[in-house]
Amino acid sequence: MILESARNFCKDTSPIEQVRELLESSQGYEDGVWKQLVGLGWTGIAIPERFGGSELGIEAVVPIVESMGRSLSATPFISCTLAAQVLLRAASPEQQQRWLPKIVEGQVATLALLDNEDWGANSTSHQLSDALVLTGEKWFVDDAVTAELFIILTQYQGSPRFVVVERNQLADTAIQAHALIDETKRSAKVDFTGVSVTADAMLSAKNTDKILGECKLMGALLVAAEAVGTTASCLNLIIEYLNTRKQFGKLIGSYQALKHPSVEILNKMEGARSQIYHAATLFEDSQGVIDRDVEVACRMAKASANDTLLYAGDRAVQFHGGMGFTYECNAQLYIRRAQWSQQQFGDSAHHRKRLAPLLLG
Amino acid sequence: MNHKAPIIFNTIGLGWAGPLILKMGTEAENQKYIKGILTADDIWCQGFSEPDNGSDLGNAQTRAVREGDEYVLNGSKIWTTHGTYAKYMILLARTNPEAKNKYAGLSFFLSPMHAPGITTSPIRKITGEYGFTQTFFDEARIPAECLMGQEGQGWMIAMQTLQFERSVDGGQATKYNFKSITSADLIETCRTIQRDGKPLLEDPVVQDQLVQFIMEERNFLLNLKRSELNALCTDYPMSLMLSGKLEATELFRRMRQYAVSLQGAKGGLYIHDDEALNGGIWQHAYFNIFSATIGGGTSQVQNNIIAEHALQRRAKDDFGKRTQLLQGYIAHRTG
Repeated sequence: MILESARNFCKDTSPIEQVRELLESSQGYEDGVWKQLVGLGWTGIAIPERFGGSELGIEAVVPIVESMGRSLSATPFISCTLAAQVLLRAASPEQQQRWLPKIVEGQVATLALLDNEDWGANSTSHQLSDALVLTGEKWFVDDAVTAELFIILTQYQGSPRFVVVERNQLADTAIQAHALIDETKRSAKVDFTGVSVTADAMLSAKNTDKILGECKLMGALLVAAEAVGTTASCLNLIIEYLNTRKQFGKLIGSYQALKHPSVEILNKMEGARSQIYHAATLFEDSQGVIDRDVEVACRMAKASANDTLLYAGDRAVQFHGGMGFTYECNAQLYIRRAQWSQQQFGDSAHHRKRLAPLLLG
Repeated sequence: MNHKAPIIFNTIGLGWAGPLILKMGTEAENQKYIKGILTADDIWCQGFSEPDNGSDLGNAQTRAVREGDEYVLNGSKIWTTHGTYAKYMILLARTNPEAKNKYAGLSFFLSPMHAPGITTSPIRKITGEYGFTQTFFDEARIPAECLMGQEGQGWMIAMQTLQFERSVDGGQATKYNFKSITSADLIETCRTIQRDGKPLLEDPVVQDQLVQFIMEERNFLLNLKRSELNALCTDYPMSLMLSGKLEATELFRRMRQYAVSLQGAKGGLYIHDDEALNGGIWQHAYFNIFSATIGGGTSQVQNNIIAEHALQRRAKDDFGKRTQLLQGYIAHRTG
């Protein structure tokens, strides 16, 4: 079963000491771990067999990212998965043949969607001129430091358009790492100004808005799955402490003021976990077609997972008392991850706002 | 919506006593009781809680003393739903006050209600209605064959009953409630109410809250499905089962309270007022839901049970020894 093997792999390759060690590294993960992960076939799991993948869908990616979240393992796996999904939807067969096998083999690909803080807008100020030269920065380009392929949302002749830029087209100074609240993650500001794009690096002009929307929904689901995994280990951290720390002569886990919120974390987590598996199941049933039900499920999954991890991270710090206020205490890893994750592909209010017309219409 | 009554008649017979007898009763008990439960000729009630022993059910003090072919009952039970109508009671009573611990002194009876020395006194509920009673036992004599199982097995059998009651095995506290009033009813209600001169459903603040309720409702329903897939419940294998009652009843309490809050001035009306929204059903349902957040183990006790399960999973220490209630659950779930 994917869930079990993914969980074991992440547990073995990303113990908490390793997570700590990587906090200050530039790329945030070890090449060796990435190679192993590629060797397991995960980078091709949702890519068709004709490109070397195993042709499972997003549903098979969910348990993997959940396991990564559990171990706070930061690899470019989500970036690569989403980039491949955009190529599968917007690239020509020739373009797919050119890039997808490389992604399967472990070349890092990433998306460059935002040029401000707004996950709700589908427009971009980024420009591709008639002469096919790019102008503008992209923000929050995940894993940009190691990425070989950048799939950029730009504006061409008044319409949104995806274009692909390869790493060797960029100057070294084009990539400026963001200082992230979550130090396990890597994301950067990338300036594409002056880069010339060849016509065969432009993806289809059709359905860009729709594909962008689908990409954001898949992103929301994957980040939700990751957050559910992270919540599980955050809850474990809390429970370990409740079972070892004594005050007033008793284990602090015997106090209801700590027990009951811990149960609330557990119950919220169980709900969010059901949501991500439900969304994954719908993806499988629809064979990747994103209909209304899939959209509802992805949005609910993200909103539930956001709120759950935010609460868990927040309580993890509080329940560790003075230790919780220190950088040394691992609670900080969770509260920081929670703030980061909630913003990726939309916070809870963003999704609830979009659920309202779908559910209350 | 008006026909979605909060409780079905003979719910204790159909939901708890019947399944219990089917699962643990003798052939003779099955023959004697099951048909009457199914035809609703025999209404059942439950004698667990006492005025002084509610959440701490294991401390129940109603006495049952064996004298020849009879047991002599003394004491009092409370919150006896259908106490006035019931022909039988599932009764938890103390047969041995000297037992090695409070749980081991309890026994379980399928007791008649119509016996000299058993009287009931109606209790008025928060809704203003009557529905349950306090039941008094004053030198009441019942046949010795009313004992279910052996003396001393009362706690074990009571825990099995609570599994039915808390809907672990599909009883009323969760699944049934989902048939009563749902988010869909709440949405319909929001269409009919005016706020700021417009239908309430157009208010974005209200929309956001409704979406949250729908999500929580779906969480619960999806949890039910997932609880059947063991491979997806490995972290805390019992948690979905243990949390169902807590999550469902608390969600319904909050939803119903919200439904009263959003009625504008009409929220101040109660059943029997001609202008009350939907006959005041939300107000009534809100008050009534406390029977579910308190009955069958309060939400606070449920929280303790789940916490101890979670804590036990992470460490085998003193917590385990104190959580006999939970162990009762586990024994029956796995046994």
